[in-house]
Amino acid sequence: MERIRLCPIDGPKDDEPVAIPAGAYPPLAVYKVDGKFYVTSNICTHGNAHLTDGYQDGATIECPFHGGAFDIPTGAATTYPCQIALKTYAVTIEDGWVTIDAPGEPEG
Amino acid sequence: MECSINRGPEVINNIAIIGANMAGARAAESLRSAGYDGDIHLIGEEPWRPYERPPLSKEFLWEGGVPSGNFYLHDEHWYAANRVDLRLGVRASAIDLRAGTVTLASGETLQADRILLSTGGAARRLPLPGAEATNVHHLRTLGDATGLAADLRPGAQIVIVGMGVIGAEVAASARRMGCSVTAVEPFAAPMIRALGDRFGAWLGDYHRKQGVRALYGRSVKGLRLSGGRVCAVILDDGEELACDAVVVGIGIVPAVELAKDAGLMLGNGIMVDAQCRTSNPAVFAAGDVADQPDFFGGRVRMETYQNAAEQGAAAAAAMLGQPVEYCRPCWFWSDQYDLNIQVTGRIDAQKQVIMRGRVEDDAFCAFFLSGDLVTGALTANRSADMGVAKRLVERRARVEPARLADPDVPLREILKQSAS
Ligand SMILES: Cc1cc2nc3c(=O)[nH]c(=O)nc-3n(C[C@H](O)[C@H](O)[C@H](O)COP(=O)(O)OP(=O)(O)OC[C@H]3O[C@@H](n4cnc5c(N)ncnc54)[C@H](O)[C@@H]3O)c2cc1C
Ligand code: FES
Repeated sequence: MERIRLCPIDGPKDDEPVAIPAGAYPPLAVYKVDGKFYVTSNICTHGNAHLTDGYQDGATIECPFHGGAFDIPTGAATTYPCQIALKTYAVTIEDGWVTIDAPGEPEG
Repeated sequence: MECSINRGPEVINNIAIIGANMAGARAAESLRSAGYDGDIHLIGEEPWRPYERPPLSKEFLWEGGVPSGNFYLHDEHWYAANRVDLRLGVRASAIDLRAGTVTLASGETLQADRILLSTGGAARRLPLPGAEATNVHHLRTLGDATGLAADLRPGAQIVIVGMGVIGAEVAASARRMGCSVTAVEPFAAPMIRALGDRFGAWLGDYHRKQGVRALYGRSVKGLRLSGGRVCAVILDDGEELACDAVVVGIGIVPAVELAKDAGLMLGNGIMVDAQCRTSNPAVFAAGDVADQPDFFGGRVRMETYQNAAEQGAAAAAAMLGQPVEYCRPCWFWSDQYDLNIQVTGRIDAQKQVIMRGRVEDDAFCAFFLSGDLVTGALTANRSADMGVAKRLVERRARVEPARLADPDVPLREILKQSAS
């Protein structure tokens, strides 16, 4: 299965997500939470903010613009004014890289 | 069980929330998520279910007066699904604290063991003859914004009275719609109460560069009418500004009538303690209407989205008898043109100011310090700094000013190392 390498696993630190510019996908955010990696869309569903400019606190990412927040593992909106969930992507660690499936492939 | 509000029943079966916007809706939601199973009456004078006010001065105006997908706080089925008895388009006309009832303007009477007053405020009307004309807009509700949106036509001459947050946001939106904008503001700069002189002056400059003609230190003394519409605004020195529409942004008047009639203690709003409780133990207040303990001592009434949401939730917990200590520093944002402005805590010119980024670049974070204590912060297009700044203020963090001023020291590191 074709995978897209997003960043080396030493990129995201706990509470310091990494921004991946648009490519095969729209802009993405890579997070580390308790040693596990997660990938979501990097664009807040409320406006045009990049979530990687926000404040990560454990499994929560707070949007930098209007204080809304999301649960990183599920993408669920947890704090107003955000209502719509973030898109999340299944992560595979491969050769020291955080990867996700290429577009068009079923997500695992 | 017979329930009288003065007796403070152990079992709470009936809660009436008066005012169905941010604070009221968040309270209803929190009551249910806390497991409260009794009745909830949510009473709103406006005909619309709870919605977001912030877009009304921003995207709602540029998107042709059409609400976006996120506009309502809950979808229309949420209320029934959560057994919230939503009464819209009806005013609560009285509360009777001895009988434990709320009377609606329709004549109906509802039983209530606990009452939450989340009545917010109404736009302060311009106290001049002609202010009721159809092209004079006060902006608070969806109805107000719908009327205003129709008047923001390209080329229209718009006069803004008052450059507070609402006036400044509407000025930006009107420019975006291609209107010609003149603003009249008695103070020396826009949003001066929120930003102080120095940063108010910066924002004033920004509006000027965006083509707003702003007259500071001036006030409006009359309106010239023609055919039922205002055709010119008359200033204190006699100058007349021809206009197609007028937007008034001179603050709000907190809606305290019910509280006043019921004999509750009033200050600059309805007085509450950190449990959101009024001078009657069965009646609570939250949001724009509440005069509450200030994080820095003294008292404050806030007009912010975050306070309305969080104090509404705190009041819900307090009504259920849970321990609550609600006392947070203020935080708000304002979006104008391509600027995202955020303020937390106190912006006090007397304090030491430490900058990251430059005002001249329209991208900066200003920290306000009292000794080594961070008491406030302001960001403009440096929203990434605000996540940390909010927490520094909220945790009463003590920092090394030299490190805060050093752009090479990541803010998160300062937060981690700060003592409080
Ligand atoms: C145009 C606009 C833009 C804003 N932008 C921002 C922003 O960018 N950032 C920010 O932080 N904040 C912003 N705010 C402020 C924020 O929207 C308010 O702080 C918030 O709406 C307050 O909520 P509330 O529930 O306390 O009161 P309100 O929103 O005023 O709601 C109170 C409700 O109670 C109803 N009511 C009053 N009396 C009665 C009665 N007797 N019976 C029944 N119903 C009654 C009213 O009709 C009203 O619907 C903005 C406000 C406006 C108007
Ligand atoms: S853009 Fe993220 S909360 Fe508004």
